[in-house]
Amino acid sequence: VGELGERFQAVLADAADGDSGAFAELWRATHPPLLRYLRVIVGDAAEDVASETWLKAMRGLPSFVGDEPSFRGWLSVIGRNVARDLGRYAARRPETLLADPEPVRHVTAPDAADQALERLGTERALRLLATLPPAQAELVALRVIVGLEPAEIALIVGRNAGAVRVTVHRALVTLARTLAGAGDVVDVTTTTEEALTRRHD
Amino acid sequence: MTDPTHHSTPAPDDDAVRQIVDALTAPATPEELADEPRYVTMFTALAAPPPAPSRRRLRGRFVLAGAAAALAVTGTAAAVTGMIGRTTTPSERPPTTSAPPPKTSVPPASRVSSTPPSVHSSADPAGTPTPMGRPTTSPPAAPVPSATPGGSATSPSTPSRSLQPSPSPTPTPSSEKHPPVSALRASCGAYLEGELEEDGKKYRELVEAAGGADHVREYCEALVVSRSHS
Repeated sequence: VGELGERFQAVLADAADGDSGAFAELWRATHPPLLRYLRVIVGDAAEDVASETWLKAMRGLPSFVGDEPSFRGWLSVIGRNVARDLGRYAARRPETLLADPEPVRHVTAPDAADQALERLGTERALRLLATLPPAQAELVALRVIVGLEPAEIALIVGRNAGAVRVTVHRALVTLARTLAGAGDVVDVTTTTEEALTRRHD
Repeated sequence: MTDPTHHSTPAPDDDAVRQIVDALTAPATPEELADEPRYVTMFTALAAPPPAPSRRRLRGRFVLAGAAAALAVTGTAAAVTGMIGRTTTPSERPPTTSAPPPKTSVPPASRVSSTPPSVHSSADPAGTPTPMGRPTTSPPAAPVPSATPGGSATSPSTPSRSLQPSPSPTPTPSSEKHPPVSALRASCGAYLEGELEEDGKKYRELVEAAGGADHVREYCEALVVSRSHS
């Protein structure tokens, strides 16, 4: 997902001053991860929750002080609370994300696995994520999609950082096994950390 | 991180994890960005200044203010002359206006009502609805995390980002009375861990800083998250 990087502060300041072009740039950089996270926790209601989230964020924008990861985290917290306020968070498992897991679930042959890897796009990855228990799926979404650190996630979900780290790791292992169709336990310990580090560096 | 429950089979699935992470963090799709015009419109509407009051409304406010002033003057004069609540006839009027006021006939509150609250609040533009139909003074649902720009986001425990606390995103009438942010953050930590009594002073301070009891949790989450990014 695109990031503004060093330009974030300038774009944020302009948006806070009411510059719609700057806001559009800020939105383009931060809406997709927000929307993906919301799809994980509320499914079909993600668009509605995102709208309400942005409405609240727009009001708080002039007084927001922080960097880009903080901003993404802030949006996610608002979104999570909006989902909870709307009673959608309780629904947890989104129907549409459960609708079509076959392309990744039933892959068993190596060739098919390779094809699945090649075909894996964001949509399919979200469906794959939806095969996890909801709480695990949310942790992975906050870690991978939003890019929060385990300690930050721990504060949001009310668990400790170690538990978050372990849960995310195991969830990724599960997803990898599902995707590859491997029945054996595989060692992806290094890979999960490398992948996340590479993503958020 | 190592997990003792997982060893062994070297990994064709390394690629699987990378693929999953890459897919989840892939560039935005056109569908995800399709609503940009709608959001920009929403932003523009919210960013626009509230409409200026019309001349008729202004005139109405002047009339209200004038009436209030007249009432205040009348009330004060009546209080001075002790004529409140009585039917005055020429024969009942005191012979001079220099008569001393009665000591107990008028409650103190009646004597100094120079600016009735209702008039004051009706002329206050703070309650003017925004184009989105919400009052401009309504607080944001979530507080604003406050970290100085330019810090690293890689580790919450790295003290490379300093905080410039701003716990209250919008000024509130009571915002000047808030305790220091460090105290609020400590209270938030206790609150999030379920260790803050909800009938205590610290909780009341959080409620005030967050703009309402309904916002305390999100306020604290954001405040603590902003701290962890410092």
